[in-house]
Amino acid sequence: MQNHIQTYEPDNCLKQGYFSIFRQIVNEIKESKWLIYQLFKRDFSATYRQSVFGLLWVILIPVIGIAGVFLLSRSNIIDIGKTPVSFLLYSVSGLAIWQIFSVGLVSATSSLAKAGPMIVKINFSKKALVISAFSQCFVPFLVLFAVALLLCPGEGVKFSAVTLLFPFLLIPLILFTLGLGFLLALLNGLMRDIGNAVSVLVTFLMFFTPIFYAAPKAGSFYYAIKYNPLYYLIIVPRDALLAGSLEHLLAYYMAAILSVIVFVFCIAVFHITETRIAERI
Amino acid sequence: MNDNLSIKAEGLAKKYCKSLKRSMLYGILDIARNIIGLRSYPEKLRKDEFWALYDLEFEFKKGETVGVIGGNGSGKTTLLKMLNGIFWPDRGKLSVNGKVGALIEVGAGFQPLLTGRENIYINGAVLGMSKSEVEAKFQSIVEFAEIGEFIDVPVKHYSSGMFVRLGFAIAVHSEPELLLVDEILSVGDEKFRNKCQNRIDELKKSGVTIIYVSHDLMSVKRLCSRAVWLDKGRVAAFGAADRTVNAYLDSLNEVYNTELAGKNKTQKIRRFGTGEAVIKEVVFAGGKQVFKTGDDIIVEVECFSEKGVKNPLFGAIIHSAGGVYISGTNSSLGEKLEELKGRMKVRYVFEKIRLLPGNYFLSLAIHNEEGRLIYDLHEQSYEFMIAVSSTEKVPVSSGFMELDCKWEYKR
Repeated sequence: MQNHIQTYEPDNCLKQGYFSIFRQIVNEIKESKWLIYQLFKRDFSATYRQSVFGLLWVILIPVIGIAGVFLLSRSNIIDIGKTPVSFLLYSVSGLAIWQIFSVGLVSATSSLAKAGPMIVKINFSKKALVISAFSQCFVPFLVLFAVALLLCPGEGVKFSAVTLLFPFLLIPLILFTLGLGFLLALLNGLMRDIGNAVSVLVTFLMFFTPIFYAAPKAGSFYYAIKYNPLYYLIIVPRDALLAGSLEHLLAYYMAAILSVIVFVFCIAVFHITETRIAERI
Repeated sequence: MNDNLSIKAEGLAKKYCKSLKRSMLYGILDIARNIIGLRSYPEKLRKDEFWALYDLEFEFKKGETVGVIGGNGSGKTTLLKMLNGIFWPDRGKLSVNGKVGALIEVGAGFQPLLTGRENIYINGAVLGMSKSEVEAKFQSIVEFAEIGEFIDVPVKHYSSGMFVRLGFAIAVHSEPELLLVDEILSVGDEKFRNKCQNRIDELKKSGVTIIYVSHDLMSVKRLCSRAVWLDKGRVAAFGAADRTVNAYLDSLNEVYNTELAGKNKTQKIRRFGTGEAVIKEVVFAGGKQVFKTGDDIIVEVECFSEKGVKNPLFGAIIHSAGGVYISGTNSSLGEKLEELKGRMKVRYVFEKIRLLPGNYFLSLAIHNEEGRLIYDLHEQSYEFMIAVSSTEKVPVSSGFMELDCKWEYKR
């Protein structure tokens, strides 16, 4: 029988030093790969099994949103500006990427509180729980992305070498969202207000990110968008996909560095403090 | 920590907060302190906090079975959760050697919409099994749970028995080196309980350390070599299971005694009768109201009659707590009293009482010789208790009474 001694002490991480925690985090996630997959599968099946339309809902809700905005712009109530491709392709591809942030963040935030009864009974990786909840965002992303791909040939979009970068350009957005998700999941475990606030905030943020409209070139809204890191994390991959071009690269790099910092900081905080969550969930 | 130890607790303590709002606030403060690298001083109590477990010191050896006993709220479940690594100590240090498995509310984490098959994979993963481990044990889990064809049915359509069986089956297949068991044997039908018991015995034989929490003290004596008795979050006794359980029982009896004495004093007596002679006071000799099977019970009855009654008879009836008439007797059996006039003490002695553990009510009466005219009757007014004997390992009879009997074998 091999000896594997686990020691529990208050403020464990502080005693072990800050740097050892990153090794622990990496090991824990490596060991939980299968657990993450199983938890993901559980949530996915549970969402779509007792439903006739299943995945169709993933398309239906955005389609209604897109149709609404389209009608409003047709009747000149709102001005969506001049989009580089058709409004439909522009908004579907934007929404696809947006799902990573919106669905990912909302679902990660509620993950710990939702699994409360399990957390207080079984000792398992809570990071796996947050990651699997976050991963739910890839379902609507992939569905909408597939729709966008189907629309591309009809719009005359040509794929180039830059297009291949698309998945890699999404990495900063994924890290940013997952990092925030870790922190917010923890806080939502303590205070349920956080979950509600996040849902509201995500909806609000959507209007500050050019998904349904072309980015304005001037005005106060222009500044609101200019300093929004999410803008670059979303628009750069989208331009790479639709236009085959890379613009705003400097801002994108800065946003990417910020994402990495957010991710590292939040996951470290989560690791240090997750031991307190079970008794308060 | 020594290699042949399985668990070591050094000054282990855990605090809880009575107020939900304050608990939230403290949680955020502690997290904030930790983030900036400050200690959270968990060893100090803040407002509304209390110690749920305090200063526990113990060592469990590898392969031993240790019972944890104590009343509700004594900290048993908190201790199990700490051993499982779900709750972290606020003070002291806890070292656990080996993979921990828990039979605490099995089936937690089942997704009702998914089938038994899917849930085995998910639950297996949550309990720390690898994919190949689950696959290798899948058949054995299904057989143990006796789920059969229901394996591909959503678990929400399972009976509660099937649900628990499946949960238990997965949990015992996770090959723990240290198994935490919490009142698990009280679920499922008789057959499955037996099966669980056998499985636990097998694990025990294979050298698994077992921590067994139960209110069934007899099973603690039977299964465990040592036991910890927790009282209000502190270790009241830790040692051989027999001795610890006995100490716990004795303390319980004391508590019952005080409670019963208080209850009998304040209880309104249900009485009727002509009042020509009355029962003034009833006391159990020595103030003791908790007995063991085989004890003598002595009841002292103070009677009074102003006018005087000729040839009175004294009667006593015992009812069970559920109201079953168990036995009645009167003083025509023995020495008779010619007249009761003024004050008089009557001692009523049950020799070597044959009642089995439980609560009982005593009725007392004074009536005339034929028994038709009741002077005073106190109906089911005096409660006493027969406690579980602390020397007995296994109960030898059940019901209300112990009967003289023996078993004979002939070929």
